[in-house]
Amino acid sequence: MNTAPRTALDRVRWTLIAVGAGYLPHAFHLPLWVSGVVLATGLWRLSIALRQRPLPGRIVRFAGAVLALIAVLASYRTINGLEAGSALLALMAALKLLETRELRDHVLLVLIGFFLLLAAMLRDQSLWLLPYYALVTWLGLTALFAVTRANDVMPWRRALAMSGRMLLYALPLAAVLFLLFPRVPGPFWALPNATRALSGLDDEMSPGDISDLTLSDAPAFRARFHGSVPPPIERYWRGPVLHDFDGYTWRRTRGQFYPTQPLAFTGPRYSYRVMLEANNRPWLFALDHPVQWLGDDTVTQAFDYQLLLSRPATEAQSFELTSYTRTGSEGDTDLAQSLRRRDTRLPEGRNPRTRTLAAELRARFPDDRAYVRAVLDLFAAQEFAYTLTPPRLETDAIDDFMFNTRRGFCGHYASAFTVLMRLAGIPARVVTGYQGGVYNRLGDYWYVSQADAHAWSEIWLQGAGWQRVDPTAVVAPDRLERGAEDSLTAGAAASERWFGTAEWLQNVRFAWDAANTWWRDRVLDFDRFKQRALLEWLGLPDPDWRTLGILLAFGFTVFLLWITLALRRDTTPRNRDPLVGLYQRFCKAAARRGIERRPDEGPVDFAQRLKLSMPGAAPVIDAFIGSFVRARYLAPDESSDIEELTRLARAFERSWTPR
Amino acid sequence: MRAWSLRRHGPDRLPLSIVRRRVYILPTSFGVFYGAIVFGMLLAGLNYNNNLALALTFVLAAVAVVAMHYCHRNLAGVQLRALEAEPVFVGQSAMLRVELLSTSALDRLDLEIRADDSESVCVTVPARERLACEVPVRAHRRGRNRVARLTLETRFPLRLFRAWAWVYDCAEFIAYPKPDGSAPPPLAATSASGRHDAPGRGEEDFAGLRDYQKGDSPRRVSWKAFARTDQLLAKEYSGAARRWLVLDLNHTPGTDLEARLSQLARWVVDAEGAAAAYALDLPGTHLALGTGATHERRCLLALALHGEPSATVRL
Repeated sequence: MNTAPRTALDRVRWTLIAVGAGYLPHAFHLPLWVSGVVLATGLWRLSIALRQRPLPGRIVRFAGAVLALIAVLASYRTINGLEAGSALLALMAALKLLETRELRDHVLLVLIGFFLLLAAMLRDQSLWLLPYYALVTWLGLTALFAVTRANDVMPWRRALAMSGRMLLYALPLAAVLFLLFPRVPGPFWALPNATRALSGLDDEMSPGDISDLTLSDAPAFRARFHGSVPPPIERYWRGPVLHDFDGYTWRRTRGQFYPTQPLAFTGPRYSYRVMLEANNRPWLFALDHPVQWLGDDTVTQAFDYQLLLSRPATEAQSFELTSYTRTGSEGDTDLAQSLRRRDTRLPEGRNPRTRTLAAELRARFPDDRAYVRAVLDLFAAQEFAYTLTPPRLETDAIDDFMFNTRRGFCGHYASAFTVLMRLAGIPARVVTGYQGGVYNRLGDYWYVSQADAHAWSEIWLQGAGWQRVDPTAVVAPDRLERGAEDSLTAGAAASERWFGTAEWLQNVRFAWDAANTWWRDRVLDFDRFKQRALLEWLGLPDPDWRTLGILLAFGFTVFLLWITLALRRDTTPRNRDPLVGLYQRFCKAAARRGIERRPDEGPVDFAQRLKLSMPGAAPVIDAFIGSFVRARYLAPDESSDIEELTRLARAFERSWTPR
Repeated sequence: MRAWSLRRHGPDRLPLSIVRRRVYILPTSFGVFYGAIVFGMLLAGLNYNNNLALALTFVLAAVAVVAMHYCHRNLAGVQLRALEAEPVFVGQSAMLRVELLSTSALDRLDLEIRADDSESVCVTVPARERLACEVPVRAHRRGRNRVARLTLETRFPLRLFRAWAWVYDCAEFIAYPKPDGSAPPPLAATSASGRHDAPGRGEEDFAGLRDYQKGDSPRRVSWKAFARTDQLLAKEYSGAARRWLVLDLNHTPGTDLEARLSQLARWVVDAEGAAAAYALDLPGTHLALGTGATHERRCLLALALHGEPSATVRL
C-alpha cells in the first residue's frame, strides 16, 4: 500500500507545475534573486517529496516569510504595486510550498498560480504571449483537477485531456461573459504609474545633439481611414508644438495659455481612427488639422492645435477623429499680440551669422511670402543634404548648420527655417509629429512608426492664417513621398538591417502587425463603448445595463441548455453497429408513412404488416428485411453486405408513399 | 428531510437508479472560496481595465459552471445493485457490501459512500462495470439494524461542488448481543438436570470415529481407518474431562434481558473458543447440543433475534 506517498508526490508535482508556469513570465521582470528563491524552494520541495522526508519546521518557514518581506521592502521600498506585489506573491507561494501537507495547501497554491498568471497578464497583454497564457491556464486547471482527486493518481495525459475538455466546454460561456459583462468606467482605486522609458517624440528638440538618429520600427500609432485617404504629401500627424528657442534647444510652452486663432478649412474632410500606442505622454497625434475627436480619454485641444489627453497614455488607446488637411484664410484676422510676441522671440546675441543673413534677405524681400520663398530657395540652391548621421553642432547651432555642416534631418531644417522666419518678424514655430506611414493592406490601416517622426514649421501669414511649411521637403522631396528609410542613400534602416527587403518577409511583418492590431483593437480595447456598439449592431436600441443583464441571463440559460445536452451526448453511447443503424433508418422511413413498428414486433412480422399497407414496395421490403435478417441473425459472422443494405434502405425511403 | 425525500422519489428499493431527481448539488466551502478568488480577479481585471485578465476570470468562472455539471453527471445514472452485510456484534462496525453499477459510458470517479454517519469509502466505478465495496456501518442495537440513510456523494471534479443522493432504509443487518458479563458458565447445574442427554467425552474410553477436523492432533487420527478407507478420521474418547454445557436464558443470572443475552453470547463465544459442546435454550427456541462455526452462528443469531417481531430469518 504505497498509494498515499504516490498521491502526495503527484500532488506536489502538479502544484509545482502550476506555480512554476504562473511564475515563468515574471522571471524576466522580477529581480534575479526572486527567481532564485522560487526555483530553489521548488526543487527543495520536490526532493522532500521524492525522498519522503519531513517538511521543514515552523521556525524555518516563519523566518523565511519575514526575510522575504524585508527583501521585497528593501528592493522596492513598498509592497504595493504590480512589481512588488508579484514579487511578494511569488515568494510567499515559494514558502507555502514548504508547508504543503493537506489538500487545502495544494489547492491554495494552485490558485496562487492563477493569481501569478493574472499579474503577468496585467503586465503584458501582447498577442505573442497569448498561447503561453492559454497553456498556463490549461496546466493550472489540470493541476487543480489532479490535486483534488480523492486518492488515486490519474495518468497525466488523461488528466490533461479531461481538464482540456472542461476548458473547451467553458469557453462559450467565457465568451458570453466577456462580451456581455457590464464594463465599468475607470479604475476603482488609483493605479501606480508605470515609469517606463519609451522611445518617441519628446517635448523638446535639440537637433545639434543628435549625431546618429536610429530609425526605430516601433509603432507610434496606427490609423484607419473611413473612406478617402489623404495623399502622402498631406499626411502630417500633428504632435507637440515647440515655441521656445534658446539658440540650441526648442521647447514646448508649458503653463501658458493663449487665445486659439480660428482657422478656416478647405478641401476634403477625413474621418479616421487612431490607435495610439502607449507612450507615457499625454499627447494624441492627429492628422493636421483635427476638428472632431472622441475616444477613451478626455481630449482637449491646446491653443496651438495640439490634441492633449487628460493623463499620460500608459496603455494603448483608440480615438475617432475628423480632420481637414488644408487651411484657408479666415477673413483678415490678426494674430493675438501675446502669441505674436512669443512666436517671434529669439535669444539675444545668438547665431549672429544667421541674423545677418536674415537681415540681408529681408531687405531684398519685404513681402512675407516672397521672403519665405527666398529662404526655401536658399535651402534648395545651396549644398544642403539630408542625412540621419549629421555632425554635432556648436553652441550657435543654427550658424553652424547654415554655414558649416549643411547636413541634417528634418529637425535641423525646421529649426533653421523657423529661426529665419522669426528673424524677419514672421511668427513661426516648430511642429513635431509624424509624417507618412506604411499601409497594411491585411489590416486596412496605416502603420506609423517612430521612424516616421518628423518636424516642420508653421508660420503666420497675414490673411492666410497659420500655414504649414516643410523645409525638409525642399531638401529631400523623397522623404515625404516614400518615408525616411527610402530617402536615404547611405545607411540602411533598422528593419532592413534585420530583415532585408524580401517581399515575403514584408508580408509576414504586415500579417503579424495586422493580427496584433486586430487583437488590440477588438479584444484588448473592448470596452463599454464597443460593448454598446455591439449591442446596437445586434439591433438593440439604446442599450443600458439592464439590457446587458437580460442578455447575460439569456446567454447563460442557452449555455446551460447546451452543456446539459452536450454532456448527456457524451455519456449516451452511439450505436456503433451499422446494421442496427440501417434497420432503425428503415423503421423511421416506415413510421413516416404512418406504419410504426410495435416494440414487441420482430423484423419479419413487421415486414408482413408493412407489405399489407404498402404492396407496391413489397419487393424492396422483402429484399431489405431478408438481407438484414440474414446478416444479423442467420450468418452474423460473414461479412455483411452493408452497401447492399444501404442501397435497399434508400430505395425504400424513396418508394411510393400513400399520400 | 426524510419524509420530503420519500415524497419526492418514493420508497427506495433495490436495484435503485440514482436518477437526476435524486441528485442534489451545492457548492462546497472550497467552491465558495474559489468564487471569492474569482470575484477578486474580476475586481482586479475591471480596475486595471485589462481585458486579458477579465478573460481569465471569465474562463475560471465558466469552468466552475462546467464543473457543476460534471459533478452532477458523475452521480446521476449510478445504479445501486446490492446492499448486504454479515452480522456483527453490537458496538462493532458491520461491513455493508455495496454494489454499484455505472450504467453509461462514463467512469464514475471519486464516489464516496457513507452509511449513516460512519466513515465514508471512496471508489471509482469504471464505465459499464459493477463494483463492490464495503462500507462500515456501526451496529447500535441488538437484533435487526437498519441503515437509516445511505449517502452517495461526489465532489469530482475540482471539489467545487458536492453532489449527493440519499437512499433511505435500504439495508438491514443483524447485530449479535455484545458478549459481556462475568458469571461462571452453568456447567454443573445443567448437566445434573439430565434434559440434555450428552455422552461423556474424554481421553479415557474410545467412543468412536468422527470426521477429521482441522486442529485435531495427529495422534488422534485413526491411521488404520485411513489405510482402509482413504478417509481421515479422528478417534473420539469419552470421559468426564470433556466439557459440555447447556445455556438457558431462564437460568442466566441477572434481571435485565439485554445483559442476560450478552452473558449468553459471552458463554457461546467462550464455549466455542474452548471447543466445548453447547446447547441453547431460549423461550420458543431450542438449539440442540453442538459445536462449530455454524452452530455458533445459529446460537448467536437466535440470541440476536430474541424478542424481535419477525421470525423469518435466513439461518
